[in-house]
Amino acid sequence: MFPQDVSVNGHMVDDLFWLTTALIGVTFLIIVGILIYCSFRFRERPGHKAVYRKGDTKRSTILTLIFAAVVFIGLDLNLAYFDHHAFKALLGSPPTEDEAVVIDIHAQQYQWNFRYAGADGVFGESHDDLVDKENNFFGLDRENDEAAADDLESIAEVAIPVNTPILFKITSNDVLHSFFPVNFRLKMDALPGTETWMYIEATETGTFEIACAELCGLNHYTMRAELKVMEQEDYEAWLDELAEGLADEGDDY
Amino acid sequence: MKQSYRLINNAERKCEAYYTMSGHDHHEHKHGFIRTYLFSLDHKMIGKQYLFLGLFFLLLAGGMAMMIRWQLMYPFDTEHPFPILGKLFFGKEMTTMPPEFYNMLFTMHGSLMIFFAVTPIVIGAFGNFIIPLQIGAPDMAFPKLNMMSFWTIFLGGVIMIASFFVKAGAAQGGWTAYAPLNSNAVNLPDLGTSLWILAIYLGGSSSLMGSINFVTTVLNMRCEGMTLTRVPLTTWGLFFTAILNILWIPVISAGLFLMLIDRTFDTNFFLAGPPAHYEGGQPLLYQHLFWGFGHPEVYILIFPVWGIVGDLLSVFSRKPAFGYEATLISMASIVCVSEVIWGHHMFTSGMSPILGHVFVILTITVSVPTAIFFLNWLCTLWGGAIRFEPPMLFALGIVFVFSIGGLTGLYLALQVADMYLHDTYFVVGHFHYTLAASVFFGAFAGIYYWFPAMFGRRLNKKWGIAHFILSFIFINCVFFSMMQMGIMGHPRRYASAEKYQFLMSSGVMEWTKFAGWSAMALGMTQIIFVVNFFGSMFFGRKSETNPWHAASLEWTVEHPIPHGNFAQAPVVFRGPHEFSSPQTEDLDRDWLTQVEPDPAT
Repeated sequence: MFPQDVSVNGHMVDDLFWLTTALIGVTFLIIVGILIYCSFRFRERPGHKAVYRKGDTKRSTILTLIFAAVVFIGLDLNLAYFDHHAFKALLGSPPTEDEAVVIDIHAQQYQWNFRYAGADGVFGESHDDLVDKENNFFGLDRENDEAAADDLESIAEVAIPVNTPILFKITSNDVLHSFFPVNFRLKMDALPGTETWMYIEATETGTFEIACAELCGLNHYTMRAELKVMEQEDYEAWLDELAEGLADEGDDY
Repeated sequence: MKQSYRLINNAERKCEAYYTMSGHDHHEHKHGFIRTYLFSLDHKMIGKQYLFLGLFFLLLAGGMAMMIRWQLMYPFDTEHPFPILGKLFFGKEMTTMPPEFYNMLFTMHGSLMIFFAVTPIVIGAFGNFIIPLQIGAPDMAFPKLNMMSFWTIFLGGVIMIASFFVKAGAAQGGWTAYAPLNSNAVNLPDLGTSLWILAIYLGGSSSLMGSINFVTTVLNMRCEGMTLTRVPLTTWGLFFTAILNILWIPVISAGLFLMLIDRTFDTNFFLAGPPAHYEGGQPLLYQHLFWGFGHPEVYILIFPVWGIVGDLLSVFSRKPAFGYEATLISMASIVCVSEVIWGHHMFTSGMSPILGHVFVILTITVSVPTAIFFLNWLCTLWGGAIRFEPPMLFALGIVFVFSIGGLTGLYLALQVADMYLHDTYFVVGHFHYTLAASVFFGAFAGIYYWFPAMFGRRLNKKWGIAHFILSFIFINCVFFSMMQMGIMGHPRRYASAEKYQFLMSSGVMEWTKFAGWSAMALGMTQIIFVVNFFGSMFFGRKSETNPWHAASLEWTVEHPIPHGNFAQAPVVFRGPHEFSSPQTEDLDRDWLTQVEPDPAT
């Protein structure tokens, strides 16, 4: 059924799903039950005559209204209540930027680009006009912007520490994409020119997958990234490796 | 305003004038081939033209669906090219489908099915053929507009087909054609997408013309005694469809127009961020415009089917439609609500949480009128004497598949569940249950039911039953598997799932194979229908005037129904569903048509 859930709040999506399944399952069985019963009990045969009933009496009207109220309260409001409850946890209470590890995502055709703030903890400003889909995914001015100089970038691979709130800031360099970390039960569109966000907290270490869920062109189906959930120390080592890579690149200039 | 009044009065006057005219029943013989079969002004011929157009595109787009499923069963597998056509399309050496071809297939499958198969059959064919007959009118209010509406959608269809032959092929950006993938010419530079926009535009114009005709006809050309509460449910469904069309087609037209000039003149309506030329554009604007039309479109397509189900369950249960007025009120309330719930398509677009909540509540409110439909349908069956003719089987099938389609909509109406299920195969399964299974069962129910009125012959009953049973089994196999794949997390519009470990290790391929072979079987099953349809049209058993013992007006005229429909203006005495009424006790039949006076007591 569902893929493995490795997040703090993801189980609420599953719970809501199963609650909905229970409610609509009962409704469905009632409908099909009556359908099958009628097909046998009220089929045309010699000696059986249909009753003449239009359902336009006052009694029918009242019963219909009661039925409507039952559907609205029993099914609709019930589900809306649990949806709201899950919503507050999953989408409604984002961590502040101080509490969370912030990761900036610039999606572009067929690849996910991730950025960490680096040693200074501050993201360099992203300039739309500097964005270059081959050399400068985040539109950074590394030479003149101090905050940008140590920003760490990673393509199609992102590491996060376990049991820590993570805040993704998501945008796009070209068309719409949708950031879909399957094992966290969430999805958020990447829109050029607008920043959306998503927060998650992992409960297990391991390598998981991120899919693109919004049609973005001919290689949409290949737009995959890996999400590595690590212990804190492994995560720091991973960041150090990125920083070394950045330093080597700097030497080339 | 004044002018439109005059127009409507004209329609009324024409209606009266028609019947006072003498010798009009020999009218049609004066026309030559072209005026009778091509540029006909007769609503019945236009209805049939729509039917053939729709069936043609249904076969074409259905074939594309089979190619889509094949690609997913054997992604990029050179050992298993698509049977017969694979070599033709991709050459002898390269037997696999390139991903852009796959994208083109699902884009064109969706667009053709919705705008050129469902719309012409369910709205164009049934609407034109049935509305004037059911309300006792000699023709549509504006016959020339009616003819023009057919030839406009025909032109749209020609452009759609032509777009396959331009460089880089037809549109590839999804039937929703989201910006900026489609609006920025950098992404899809070739002509295909622009032609697609043009064709949808023409299809929309055609629907608008048709809808103005439907609304005017229903409101002004009802015969004497045909009060609004005596109009059959099918006509009511088509009437509500027409109202939604008139309200919302201009919205998508505006969106598509902006997209077309974005593409061709480098304007910037739907561009923001790095690719933008200037400031001030916004890709989300397109989504609002699209779904502002796109969600009512769901009801546009399903209203006629709801009407058909209501009428057919009544006719074949030999009982009046239960809660006729409650059904009408429910339909009308859905017309109102359908216009304010488009946001549930955009829960993942980063919309404000409060706005999201509003859309959740509004969306699930739709389940109340929908539940009343089910209540009325089941109460119509209860206590009836059910005849299992092919149209009735399809109507019962709709109650089943639409219950699945409608109920699974609840998951997607909930913001949190939608965060996971959005843009996965779950959504695809859900909307195929409503738009494919329910609507095409409605189309088949209607075709089996009105075939005698259209062609004066009966479709073969045994083959009809076989067609229903096989279609019912396979359609459920296909779309239920899709929902299962969606729960496993399979995103839609993927040419292959092979890159993803979580999918390949979860057994999603078994479901894909099952859905794929079921889709092949479903496609093959339709051969039964095609043979039955064309065979019966020429060689079928001749039908009597009222083969189903129905009560509405279209069954009171003899075949072939002449130009002008009724020899004299009919006068209506009662509602459309008078079956098994106490008044028929002394008769040797159990129905009273709308036009006969009360039997002497």
